[in-house]
Amino acid sequence: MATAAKAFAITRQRWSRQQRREALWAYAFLSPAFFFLLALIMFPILFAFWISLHDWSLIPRHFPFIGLQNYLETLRDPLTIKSLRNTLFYTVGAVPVSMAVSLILALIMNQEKLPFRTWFRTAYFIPVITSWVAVSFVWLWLFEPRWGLVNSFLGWFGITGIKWLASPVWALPAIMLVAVWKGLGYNMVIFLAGLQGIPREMHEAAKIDGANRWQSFWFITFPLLNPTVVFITVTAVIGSLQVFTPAVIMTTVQGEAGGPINSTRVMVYHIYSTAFRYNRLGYGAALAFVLFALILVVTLMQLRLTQREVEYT
Amino acid sequence: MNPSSMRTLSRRELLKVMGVTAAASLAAACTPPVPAPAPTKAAGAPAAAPAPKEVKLAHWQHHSVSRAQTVEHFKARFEDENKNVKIDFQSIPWAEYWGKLASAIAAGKGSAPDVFQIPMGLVEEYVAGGNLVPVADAVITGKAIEESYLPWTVQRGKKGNEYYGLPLDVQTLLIYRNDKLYQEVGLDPKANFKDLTDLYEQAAKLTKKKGGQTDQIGCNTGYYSAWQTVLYQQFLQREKNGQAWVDSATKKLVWPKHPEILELFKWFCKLSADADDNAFLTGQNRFALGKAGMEIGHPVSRGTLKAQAPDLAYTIVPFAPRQAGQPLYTAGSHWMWVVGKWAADFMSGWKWVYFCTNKPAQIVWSDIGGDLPSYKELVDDPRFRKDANANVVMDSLKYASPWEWVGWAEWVKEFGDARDRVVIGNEAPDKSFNTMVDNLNKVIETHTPKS
Repeated sequence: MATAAKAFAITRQRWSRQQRREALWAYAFLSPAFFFLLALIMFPILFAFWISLHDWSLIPRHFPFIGLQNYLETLRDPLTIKSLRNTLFYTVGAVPVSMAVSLILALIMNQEKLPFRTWFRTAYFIPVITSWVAVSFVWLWLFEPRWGLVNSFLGWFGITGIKWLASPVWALPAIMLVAVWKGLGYNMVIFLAGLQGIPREMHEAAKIDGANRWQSFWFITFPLLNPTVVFITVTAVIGSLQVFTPAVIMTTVQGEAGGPINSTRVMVYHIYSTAFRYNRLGYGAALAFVLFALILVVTLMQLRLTQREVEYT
Repeated sequence: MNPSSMRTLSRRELLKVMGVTAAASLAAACTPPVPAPAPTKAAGAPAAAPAPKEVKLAHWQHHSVSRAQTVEHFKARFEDENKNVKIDFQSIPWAEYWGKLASAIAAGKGSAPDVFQIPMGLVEEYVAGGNLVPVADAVITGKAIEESYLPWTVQRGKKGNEYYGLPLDVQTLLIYRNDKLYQEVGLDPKANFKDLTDLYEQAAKLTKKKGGQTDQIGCNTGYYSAWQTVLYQQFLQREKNGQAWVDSATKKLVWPKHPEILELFKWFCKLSADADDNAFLTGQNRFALGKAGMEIGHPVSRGTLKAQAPDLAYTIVPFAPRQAGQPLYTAGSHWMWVVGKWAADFMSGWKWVYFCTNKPAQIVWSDIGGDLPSYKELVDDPRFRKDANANVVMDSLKYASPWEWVGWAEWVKEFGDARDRVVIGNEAPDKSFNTMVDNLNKVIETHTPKS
C-alpha cells in the first residue's frame, strides 16, 4: 500500500513535457482575465479596506491611521443603525411578496390553454427592462398624495389620506411596492423555466392517485421547484440589500434622499452619502464592508437552510 | 508548389517573434520624445524673444446653462488675448460634480483641474489641507482685493494675509411673494414685513385647505437650512454684536447659550407646520406653480422662474426682522474660484480667474446669467437695477453677512431633519433642537482642520 502511494506520488510529480506545456498555455490564456480581476476588482477591494482603517477625507490632507474605529462607529451611529434597519425591512418585506406573486403568475402562465399567453409574458417583462430612473420618476408622480393616480384609485374604495412618499410610515412600503412590481416579470420567467423542467408524468401520476390541484402543487411542484426558489431567494435578497436607485430618485428633497426623517435611508445610499457628500471616505468604506459582511452571512444562511437535493424519480 | 516543402513557423518561433515585437513596442512607447532641434540663427541677427510657454488650463465648474455660456464667452476672449493659453473647460452636472472633483484631486496632477469652484463652506478646509495656492500678487494684491470686493464675499477665502479664492455666484436670501395670491387675500405684496409675527400671520392667511386637504400653502419652508440660517444669524449678528455660531475656543455651537435661538427654531417649526405641507406637490416647484404664497430664495431663482413660470408676477422683499424696527438682515453665500497647488502655471491660472471675476466680467455675468456682482462699485450700478425686484436684490448685498456653514451636505441635512422630527415626527422641539446641536457639533469636529 505504501509502495502504491509512493508510486502515485512519483507519477504526480513527474509531469511530462506535454503536460507542463499545456499547463503553461492554460495559465497564459487565464492571465489577462486574472490581471484584469486583480487590477480592477481585487486591488480596489483591498485598498478600500485600507481606506476604512484611516480617517480618510475626500479633501486631501493628513489621513491618520485609526484602526477599527470606523467599524466601531458603525455600531453606535444612529444613522447607520437606522439605514440597516430600513434595508432589512425592505428586504424582508419585498422579497417574499415578490416571490409569491411571481410564482402565482408563473403558475398561471404555465397553462398551455391560456389565451394571449405570450402577450401577458411580454407585458409582465416590460417593467424589468425599463430603466429604474424612469420607473422611479413615474411612480413619484403616481404616488403624489393629492393628485396622484394611486390615491385616486384607492379613493374609489373609500381609502384616503395616505401620504405615501411624504409619510415616514408609508414611504418605504411605497418603494417596496415599486420594486415588487418591477421585479415580477424577471422572477416569473425564472419560475416558468423551473416549472417547465418538472416532468409532466409526476403530475399525471399524482392525478391518478387522486391528488387535487393544491396537493399536487404543495407535494410535487413546490418541492421540485426548490433549486429555482433557492436561486431567486438568494439573488433577490442580495439585490434587495443593495437597493439604491428608487430610494434616491423617489425621496430626494433639497438634494438629500432617504426622507422623510430617514425612513427610506438605505445602506447603499448611506454609504454613498457618507463617502461622497459628507467627505468621510474612511467611514464610508467601513460601512461598505459591513454591508458586504451582512450580505455574505445572510446568503450563507439561506443556502444552508434552503438548499437540498432534488431528484425526479 | 508542394505544401510539404513550404516552411511553417513552429510554435517556439512564433512565440519568439511575438516576444520581440512586444518588447520593441514597449521600448518605443517608453522612449522619451526627441526634442526638436533648436532653430539656428544667422550670424549677426538679433536674438529672437523666446516664445511664451504653451499653457493648458483645465477649468471645472458645476453646470448651469447660463453660466456655461458665460464661461465660454470669457474663454474665447481670454484665449484671444493670451495666445499661448488654452482653457479646457468642463461644465459638470451638479450631481456628479463633487464625486468627479474629489476623485480627480485625489489622483493629483494630470487629473485634477487647475482652476475649479468650491463653496465658501469648504474653502478653509481646502486651504488647511494645503491644496490651493494663494492669489498671485502680480495679478491682484490682497489690498486691492479688500478695496474692490464686498468684504463678506472674500473673507472666508482669507488665511493669514493671503487670499485663496475670488468670489462668484454671489447670492443672498430674500422672500419671494406671489402678487396674485397676496392681492386675493387683501395683502400688499410690496410692503416689507414688520417682524416675524407679521410674516407668520401673512403665511397663515395665504394657506388654503379644501375638503381637509391642502389646496395652497402660505409659505414654502422647504429650504430648511436657509430659513434657519437667516433666523439664527440675524439674531446673533444684530443683537449679539456679530457673535459667530461656533465658539473659537471650544469649536462648538454657541446656540445653547442663547434661548432665543431655540425660540426661533420653535417659531420656524410652527410656521412650517401651519403654513406648509410636505405632502403637497412633493418635489415640485410650488411657488412657480402658483401654489405657494411666498418662499425664501436666492436672487438666481429669478432665472428659474423666468424659465418655469414666465407669466408669474412676483415681488421680492427683504427677510423679516425678528422684532419690529430692527435693521434688515440677510445671509450671503458664494462660491470661490481657486487654483490648485498642482497647476503647472499658477500665474496663468490666477490671470484666468481674475479675468472672469473682475469688474467688467461681473457685468457680463449679470448680462448673460443674471448673476449678482461682488464688486463694491457695482452695487449701485444702474445696469444691475433694472426693476424694483432688482433694487431689493442689489440692496441686500450691502447688509448681508456670510452664511455660517461648515462642510457641505451633512450640515444642510441636520436642519431638515430637525424640522422633520418636529413637524412630521411630532417630537418635542426642545429635544429635536438639542439633537440638531449635537449633530452639528460632530460635523464641526469632523471638518475642523487638525493642527
